[in-house]
Amino acid sequence: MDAIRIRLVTKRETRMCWKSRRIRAWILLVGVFGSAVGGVRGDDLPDRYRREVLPILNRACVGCHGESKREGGLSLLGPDDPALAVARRGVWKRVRDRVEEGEMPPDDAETPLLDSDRKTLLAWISDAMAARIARSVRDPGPSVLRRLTRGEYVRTVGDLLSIEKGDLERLDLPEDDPGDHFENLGASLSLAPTTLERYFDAADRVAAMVFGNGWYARGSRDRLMPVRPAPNRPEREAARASLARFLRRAHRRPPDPTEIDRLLIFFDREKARGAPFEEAMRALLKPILISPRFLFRIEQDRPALDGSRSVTVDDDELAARLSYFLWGTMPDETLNQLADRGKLTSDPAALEAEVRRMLGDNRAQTLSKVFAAQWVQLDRMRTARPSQEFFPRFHAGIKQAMVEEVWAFFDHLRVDDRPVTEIIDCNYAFANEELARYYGIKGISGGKMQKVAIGPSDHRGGLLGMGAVLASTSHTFRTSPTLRGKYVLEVLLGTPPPPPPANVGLLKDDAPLGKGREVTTFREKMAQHASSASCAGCHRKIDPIGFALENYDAAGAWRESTRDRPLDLSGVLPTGERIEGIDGLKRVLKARRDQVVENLVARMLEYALGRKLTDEDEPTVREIREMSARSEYRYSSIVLEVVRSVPFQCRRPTGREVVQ
Amino acid sequence: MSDRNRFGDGSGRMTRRAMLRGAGVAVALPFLESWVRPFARAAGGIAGPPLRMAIVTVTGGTVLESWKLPGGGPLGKLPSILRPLDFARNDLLILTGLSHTGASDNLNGHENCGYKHLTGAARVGKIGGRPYAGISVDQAAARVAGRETFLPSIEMGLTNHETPFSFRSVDQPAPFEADPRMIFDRMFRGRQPVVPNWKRRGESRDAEAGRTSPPTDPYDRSVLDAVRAEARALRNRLDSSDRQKLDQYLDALRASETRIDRLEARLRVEALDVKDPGPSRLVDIRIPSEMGKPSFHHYRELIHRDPEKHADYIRIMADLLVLALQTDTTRVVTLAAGADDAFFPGVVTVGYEYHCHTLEHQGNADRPENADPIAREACRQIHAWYTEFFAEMVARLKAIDEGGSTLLDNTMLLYTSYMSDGGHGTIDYPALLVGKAQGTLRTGRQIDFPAKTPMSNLFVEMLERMGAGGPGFGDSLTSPNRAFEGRLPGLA
Amino acid sequence: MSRPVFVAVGYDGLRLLSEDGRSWGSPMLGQEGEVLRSAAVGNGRVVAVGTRGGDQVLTASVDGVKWTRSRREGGYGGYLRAVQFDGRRFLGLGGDPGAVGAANPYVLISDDGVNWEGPHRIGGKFLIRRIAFGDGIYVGVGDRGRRAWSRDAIHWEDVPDVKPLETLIDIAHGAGVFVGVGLHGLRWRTLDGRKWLEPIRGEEGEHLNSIVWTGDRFVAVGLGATYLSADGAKWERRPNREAPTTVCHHEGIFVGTKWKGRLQASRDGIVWDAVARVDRHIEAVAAGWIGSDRS
Repeated sequence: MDAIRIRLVTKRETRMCWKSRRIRAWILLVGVFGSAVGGVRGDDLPDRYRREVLPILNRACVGCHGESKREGGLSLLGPDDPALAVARRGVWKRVRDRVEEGEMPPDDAETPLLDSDRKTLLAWISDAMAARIARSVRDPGPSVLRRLTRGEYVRTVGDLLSIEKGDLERLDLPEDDPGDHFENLGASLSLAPTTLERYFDAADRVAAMVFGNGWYARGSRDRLMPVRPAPNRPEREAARASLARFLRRAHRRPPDPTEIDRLLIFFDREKARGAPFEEAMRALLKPILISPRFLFRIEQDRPALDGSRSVTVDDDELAARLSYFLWGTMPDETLNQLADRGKLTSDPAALEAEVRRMLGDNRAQTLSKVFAAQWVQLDRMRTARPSQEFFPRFHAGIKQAMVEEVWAFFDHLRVDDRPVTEIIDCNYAFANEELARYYGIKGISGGKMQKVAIGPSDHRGGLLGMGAVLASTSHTFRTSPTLRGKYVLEVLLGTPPPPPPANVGLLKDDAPLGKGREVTTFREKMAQHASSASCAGCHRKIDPIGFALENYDAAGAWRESTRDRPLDLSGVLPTGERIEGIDGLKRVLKARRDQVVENLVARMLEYALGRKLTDEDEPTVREIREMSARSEYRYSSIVLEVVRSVPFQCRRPTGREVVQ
Repeated sequence: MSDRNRFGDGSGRMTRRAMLRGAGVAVALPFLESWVRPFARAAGGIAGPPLRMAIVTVTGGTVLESWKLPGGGPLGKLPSILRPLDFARNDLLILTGLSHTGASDNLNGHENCGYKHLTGAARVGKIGGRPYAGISVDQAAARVAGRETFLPSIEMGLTNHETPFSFRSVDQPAPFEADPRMIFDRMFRGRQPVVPNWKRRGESRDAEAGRTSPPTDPYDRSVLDAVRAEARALRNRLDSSDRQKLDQYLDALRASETRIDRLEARLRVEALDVKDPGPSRLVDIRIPSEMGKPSFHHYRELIHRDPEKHADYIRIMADLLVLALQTDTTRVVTLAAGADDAFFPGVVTVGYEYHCHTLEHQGNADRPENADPIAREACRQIHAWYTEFFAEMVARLKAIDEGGSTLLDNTMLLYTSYMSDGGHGTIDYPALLVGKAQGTLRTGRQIDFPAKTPMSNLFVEMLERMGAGGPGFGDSLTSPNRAFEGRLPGLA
Repeated sequence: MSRPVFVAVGYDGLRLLSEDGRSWGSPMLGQEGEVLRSAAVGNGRVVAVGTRGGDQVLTASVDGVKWTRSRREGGYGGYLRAVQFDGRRFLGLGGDPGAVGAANPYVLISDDGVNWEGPHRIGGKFLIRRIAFGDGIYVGVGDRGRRAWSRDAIHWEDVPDVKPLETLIDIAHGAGVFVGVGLHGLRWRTLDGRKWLEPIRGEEGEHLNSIVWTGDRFVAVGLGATYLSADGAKWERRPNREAPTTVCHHEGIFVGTKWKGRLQASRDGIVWDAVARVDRHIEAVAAGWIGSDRS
């Protein structure tokens, strides 16, 4: 019996995630965890949790990891319903990792973990991790009211009023906080009074653009006033009709009649002053552009029947989620029409077709220039440290080319629907003439980015061969194996090391090795600064990875040696694996391709949802990866599975949100 | 007591409410009015200029042995970093030993220092990517002192990767504006810089008169009304956590409305000032056009690479601070000067490393003797360089006559840094008060407080003087190192 | 026919010349990314050395107009940091400035600035940055307090137990004595490079970056004050303003450079006038006689 996947067939009225009570009851009975794949018996997991696991946790763990004390921010106690406890797989993953390595409980714990208990716990976790968790009990996660980011505002206004984006870029809007990964995380998008003031001003300036004489202004006015007064259509009627259409697009849903009336007051006031039609309509722009329905992505709060944990969003809301995820801007006509007809939530085939259309549209470049760029921390190139003093060829043109290389690569993955594992390694690269020369690749001319086939002797291919990554993980005059190791762990594998403690310094140069011998190699010097016990624990996980990249100098160029000393590219990972150079590292990453893809999935889900992931999102992430594995991890399959996931299609019902 | 999850969000993760309860702070509302004592001095009720508060905070990496004297007492020869302030020696009050010892969750070193810097919060951190700390001293002062001014406060400058230093409440950072054109615009759009005549204002109570004038600017007001009505209607259809965000929006609307109200009142008062201004000359602001071409972003990268541009920038920002206070645009300003990520060739003349952040770490160690002396000296040079601009600013404040007292006499100025050393330290901050704060500070000396005395105690003292005093601030009463009942004795 | 010359060198192969230290010719540029770090004048010519990427750059001219340029493999670790003239020949000093404790310092030697022999590895953990020659010996000072002496500029003997805080930045010879100057106004003299007499400390922050022997006195220019001495033992302190960060001297005229691209001139090393400004940074200045042979 394969996993039960509940299709989201809903009627707009009921807004439930599953068809009927009966089916739901059956699902819970047969087994929330009714997967018989590999013979895993999932249906007794909640029971085992209650009987066996909970007592163990209470004995040996909850003292430090409970509600009152949460060492490391971790509490092992969750909701009382054992069925739901199983769903918090993120937590169990962490528990398993630490207990397996013997790191937890610590040696000085009050109550040690008995061997038998340890076995029981790990066995249960292993079964829980393998079990399928039905969509019906998935929690779509906390909702966050999201303000439009600066970029989204510019693109949305540009699309709403057909204004040239270049003019909008000059609007002096406040920068968004880069947050931890993505600048579109709703939590960090606050609205301080000073910020609103800037939007106030921006609205005035947009009105000036629409009613100015730029080449696009006629078109902009047509957008605002699609219905004009005519012999059989008095001005106020034209205003109302235009407003209805404009608001449907601006608010990203059909407008309330009260809203239209409220805005028509502005029109009336201007008309009372004798203003012509257009001038009176101009007065409407500002209140629309600073309205919360424009600046925020609003979703209605809805109750759920039968106490379910999620409700589907409606078609308009799903359309907005789709367009901001894939395009970073408002829905277009086609998408809006599908929403009007209710197709997005009722017709999976139509939804898939629409996602494919949107992915193929130019606007999906946002996925490369915003999502991917922020994921791989491309903005670090702005303050890349390698100095031209030491690396004279690392000038502004090369830096710009390195940025474009990253955009071009990710856009290629999208357009050609490539397997995302090509991020680890692939047989092509992107470069323009200058960058190709810098890399030592032949056969490219011209200033635009082009795809070029490469071989082993070109030493490129994949994210780790890109100059932007290598240069932004270096110091002014030398590479930084530590920064590079951290980058691989964080960006590719999704297991970032904890931050260094306070009072950490850079390499000291005259501390002896302790054997009376002088420190001679770079590696030995690095080892020094990781020789104190508190440092070594993390550094032995980080540095060997960075050393494998030592063939790339601080500015991303390939080198066989540092001209006065040979390079030492070998390293031993904590697992005992030996790696040698970039090829060894790529081999290790390929062996862990599932983990790499799962991390990419997690980041894409984060970006799509605009919130950080919680422990309950782990089954979703795993499922997206497993489903897209069937299509060799192609780009579109990942995007599609993200769109199909519970958190993307649903939200928590009324009463389930707790004030954070 | 059982360890059941009381918070019901299913994830077991630390919720903000739990954290707030743990920190012993009242559950956050946008306005923590309860602890603010009534503002004793109403503007217009006293003849004479009001007291202002300004905080100038620089990057990390200061070198304390060149910053403070070996011991407390009257100031003799100033240590080299503070030497540019020699001309104002009698106005200086150096405080040592002040520290932040709160806890932190999920933060790196810079964030830890940044969030604690002006808040003194007992616990700082991030939940779901969102920062939390406590209200900061400047925002607390602005709540009271900002009632009478056009802008409640101004936060400006470059902070490390936009790490917020100022917080309007536990989880609402106040963004710092880095672009001088934007700052000027915010101060003076719709009005003209003019020097207030404090004598006349005090005598004729025309501030009150201004408040009763009929409102103008009907279009903007009606826009605000319309969106407010919309927001209120919307609010009922959202769930409780979304409502909070919308409340932020409503606050912002309110602030915009207040600004329009105040603009009207201001214009009236300033019309009288124009005819009969105060005695000083207006600070002349010249913002070079290259700061905006092609964008400020671009100029910012120049600042990072070239200390000459950096110097121009700091000077302009300092001038804006002085102008803001001189024209009573606001009475609370926070300026973050310097940038950790910048390069300082020519400022640093020793060794061959010019990158500030690298030098901060290289020049730092558990004890000064153990640090790389060249890197440490480079840090000292950078901080001496910052102080030159600060000193220019102090001189300018001193030169502005407000009708019998100088602007420096009427300002409580704090010169400090968000890190106490180059290694994200939080113990023994550089803290220098400049100006006698209208006679409430006895200057010309250094006071050594016991190690780890909470910096929050200093904030209590500052807030008291701004009329925003309360029983405690930050961790002044809750820190394990609490001292002096949350005050700093002997300042006056 | 020889004439006096002042030369300033810097970023992107920048070279500027002047006859009197006050009026300067148009800047000449080299290649993008080329940094000329040091210059010296002797044997009737100007010699400048620097780096470009991992290479050493050496360039020389007898007339200030036509320059002979040569390039050597340096590896990033083999940078040339300084060139000086010892009265007979040019000495190039180099090593890896970015390494931690393994600078591999070396010396190159040339008569004409065009043909160089070496590198002669001189040993030691840290670079020697500046040397002075007098009474038949060379004395060198460098990073982390390094002090050493030599008879041939190739084989050096180090002073033991040096302290980084006592790093000397420049050194000059005159009146039978060598005087090194450094951090916080440090002045230290020695007769033979081996035994160093009592160090004199100055004001915190008043680093003395340059010292010259004018023929009758030492002039050490620092950030905040200039120090003068006839014998290296007794010093007079004169506060200065807008002093440059590095200085050279020729026939009574002092020339110095400051960030960014500024040139200054002085008659006494104390009062300085701004005389030129270019948009690239100037790394070094030097002075001497150029033209037919007159060292």
